[in-house]
Amino acid sequence: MDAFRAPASSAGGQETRLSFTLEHWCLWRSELASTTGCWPGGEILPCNGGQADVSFMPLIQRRRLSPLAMAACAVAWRCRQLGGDMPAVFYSSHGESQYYFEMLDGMAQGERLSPTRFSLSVHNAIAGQFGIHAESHLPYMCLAGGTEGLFAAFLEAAGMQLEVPKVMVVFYEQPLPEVWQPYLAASKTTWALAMVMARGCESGNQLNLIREPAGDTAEAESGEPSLIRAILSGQRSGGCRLERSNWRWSLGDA
Amino acid sequence: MSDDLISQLKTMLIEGLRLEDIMPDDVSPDASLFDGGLGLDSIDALEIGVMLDRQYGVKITSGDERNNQIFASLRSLAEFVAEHRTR
Repeated sequence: MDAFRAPASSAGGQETRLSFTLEHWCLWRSELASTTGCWPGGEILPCNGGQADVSFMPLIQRRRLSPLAMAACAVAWRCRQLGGDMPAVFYSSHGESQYYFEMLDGMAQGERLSPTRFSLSVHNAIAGQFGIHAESHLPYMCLAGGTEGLFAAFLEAAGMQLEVPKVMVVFYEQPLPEVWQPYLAASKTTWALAMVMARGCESGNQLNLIREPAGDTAEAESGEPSLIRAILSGQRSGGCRLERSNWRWSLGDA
Repeated sequence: MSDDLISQLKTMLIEGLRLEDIMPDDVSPDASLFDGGLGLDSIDALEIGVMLDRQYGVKITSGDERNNQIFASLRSLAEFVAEHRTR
């Protein structure tokens, strides 16, 4: 079954429906989260003192991971262990913002750029580091923030699933550098979520998403995205109003 | 060139390259930095170049023919720094 459905919405524009089977999910956040009452079919990794455990990686790779990269790699690796190798979509609104702000600050003071810091701050660096460890030769896509927020990754995954049966989606964010915080309602925690998404079918946990076009501007989400809060609290349906769209989602048993 | 400089460089490498599982005493002054010694790679070589510039005012360029000799071991690196440092 294709993940895409695009009937006309009552509002006039095209409504887009996505349907996935959520085979497994794995979440880590830098502050303790309750492991009871969350969504089925997944797990919350130990907080580990605020730094995700990446001891599965050899030191020579591990030493280059930022706290954000550790979080993303930890959840992605757990899903990789359970779901095997598969194409992946990595999504982060702002990526390695702590690193690139430090570099800009250093450049303003006339310092030479750290080659390591620079090479690991590009938006696909975390996916690259994970791919090296996972020895994956499959397509990885990296997305940054846009008008669809984190839902852009679901759109991309649905597109990939026209060709492959299963895709891993990895989301990860961290607090922005302090000087930027007054301008954006970003997360106060570091967190990462990986999901193994198969095509929608007749069994298992079905994650359905509906995107409706929206004309007027809505306020950005503040703090952790509502989808993350829902996974943690076990809330099975919800919605999110974004700049140009209204997203609704629900998790149900087929 | 003093043992003190070798010791300073050891600390610089361990902290700057985040070799968190390695203790200063584990690093022999004559062991190879690359090729199976400390297991460093070409990005580390560039990073060491930046650290040496910041800390000692030593300029090392990526195309320098002497680089294999300079980076052969901690002792050879210390000898080069002692000779060319400006601070």
